[in-house]
Amino acid sequence: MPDEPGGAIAGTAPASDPVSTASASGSSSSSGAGAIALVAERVVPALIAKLSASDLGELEVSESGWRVRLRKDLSAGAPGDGGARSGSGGRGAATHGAGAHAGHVGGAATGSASAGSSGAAGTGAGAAGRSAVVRRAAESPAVGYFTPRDGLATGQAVRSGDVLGTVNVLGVPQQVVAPGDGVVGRLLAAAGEAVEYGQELVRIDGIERAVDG
Amino acid sequence: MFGRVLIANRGEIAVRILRACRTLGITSVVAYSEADRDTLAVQLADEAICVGPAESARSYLSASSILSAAIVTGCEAIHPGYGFLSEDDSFAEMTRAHGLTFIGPPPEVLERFASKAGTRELLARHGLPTIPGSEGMLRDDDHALAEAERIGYPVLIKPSAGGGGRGMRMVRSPRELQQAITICRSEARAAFGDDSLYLEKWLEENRHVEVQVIVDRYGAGVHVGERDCSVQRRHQKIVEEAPSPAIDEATRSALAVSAVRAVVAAGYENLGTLEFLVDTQGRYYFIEINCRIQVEHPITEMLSGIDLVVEQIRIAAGQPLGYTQADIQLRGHAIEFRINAEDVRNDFRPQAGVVERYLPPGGPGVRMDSHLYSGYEVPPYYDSLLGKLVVWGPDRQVAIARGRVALEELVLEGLTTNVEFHRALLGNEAFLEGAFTTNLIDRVGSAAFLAAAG
Repeated sequence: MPDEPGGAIAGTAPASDPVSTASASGSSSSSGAGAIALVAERVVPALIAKLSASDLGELEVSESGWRVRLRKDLSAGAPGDGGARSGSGGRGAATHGAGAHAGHVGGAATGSASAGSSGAAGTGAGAAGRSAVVRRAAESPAVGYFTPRDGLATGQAVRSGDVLGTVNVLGVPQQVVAPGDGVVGRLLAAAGEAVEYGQELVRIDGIERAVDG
Repeated sequence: MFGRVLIANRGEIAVRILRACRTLGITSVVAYSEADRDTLAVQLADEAICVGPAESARSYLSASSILSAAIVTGCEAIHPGYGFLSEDDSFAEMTRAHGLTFIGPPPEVLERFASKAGTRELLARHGLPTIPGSEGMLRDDDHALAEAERIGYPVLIKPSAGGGGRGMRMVRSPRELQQAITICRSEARAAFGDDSLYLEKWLEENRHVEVQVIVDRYGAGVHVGERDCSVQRRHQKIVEEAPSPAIDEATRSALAVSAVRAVVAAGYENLGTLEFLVDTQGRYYFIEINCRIQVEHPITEMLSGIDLVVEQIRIAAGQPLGYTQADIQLRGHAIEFRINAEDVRNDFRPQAGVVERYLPPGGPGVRMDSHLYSGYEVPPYYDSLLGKLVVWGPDRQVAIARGRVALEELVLEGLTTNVEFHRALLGNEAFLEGAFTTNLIDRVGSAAFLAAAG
């Protein structure tokens, strides 16, 4: 799926559903108190369990009209050193989705969490960890004029989903979001510059563990 | 004239518009979706800008993305091609509100001709015959019987609301009418909550004939003859030709002259196509107008020598027509074969994949409008049109002979196409006699149609 819609637009694609099988809640579509209870009692614990057991930094799930996103601090170390290897950074990683990289879900690439989590489970604990710098870029969600967030500067730490700026489309700002955790690298487009859809705007250098084999 | 134009379309028509822009010395910017990064128009363009993902709703159909792309690239006008935003009056209005020009009819003209029923009434007032039908809605059985008698059987019972064939029945006698009308009323009530019905004349063996018109901002208009698009499958045109072999000279002239007179009087502007149904007696009935460039426009260009896309751009830029009907000479006969990526032996299922080898045919009177090249990957997201093979000859026989040669010569490997269908058509007696009707393929069935031609 080289051209799967999504890219860097957080929250536009329906979130993937990595733990709905675990939560076994089926197709309940109520959105009242029952739904909240369901989310609190079943989805959140299932999500925590899944996240603890995996090497992912973040999981997101939609259930009964609610969207739950859970993050863990990767630098604190996770039980088990398994992890899906991140491929090349930048555009490829952000748009190809499915299991290519751990550590970000964000709603950008539908299905990446489920594929990533099963991959992580499969690699098992105890494998030797290795650090690698992963380069990615926040991409333009639309055609328009780019404005970076106030004070955005090289060296700042960002988390997946953080808003790094906007692209103005006929007066309507659309958010540019960080595709993963990391540090702001170079700005690839100047303030006020005309940008196209999918254009790389802000370089994000992330540290991630990768594993051999 | 414009200095820069945004081409907001894809495939062969994007290449066609690009060529017209070049002819006029206009810089062109091609708007493309992520799935079309490798397409020919992007490669040939002066500039190209990605407007969104493969999904057309977020790229080619996204008015704000297209308009924003035109603005950020400094374009003065947008050419929408056909399909997508080409007849969207609110997009045209939005374009104008941002100080750009929509290449097509102005928004208020698009709006005036947006409703099919409204357009039929409007053009009927300006002298175009429309399909005979009942005066208003049917009050009761007696009224229905009287109206059917007046129109002449067979008639089609149609519900006022909705569509999709529900509440619709064709009847051949008063007896059938009385039986069907009760069923139609209850179907229409159940489906649309409205059981009002009306009658329309049913044309059994009809031909689809359309007239090309060009009208400038100052009320000068010409027609560029007609095109016959009777070779259809499930209402999709497959082969078009001009002139129509189904009508005599007197009808041809009356049809074209009345069409252009009516649209000029109704305040139309820019390029337009008026579609008619022609019955076996050569009577014609207006059905609808297309306010854009048509897929099949090249056959008219082959006959007239007029570049219709250039005319469209010139008129949108406010230039006067600059010639009259007497200056338009139509010569010879042209046929267009739509080359589609579809499997004719498998219910015409659309195909996607890599074009491994592509070699267009050539020779006198042969034109291939296509965005293909060897190695191009046809994406699965859009329509299956790969190109249009157009042949011209001094008469129909020569055009058909050149068509046969060109279809043999065309090399298109790696994808299943409908070329086999076209070869079969050129062996079909009804087509060779010029007697093809719009229902022929569906009535015979495409498998039987292909088998009969060997």
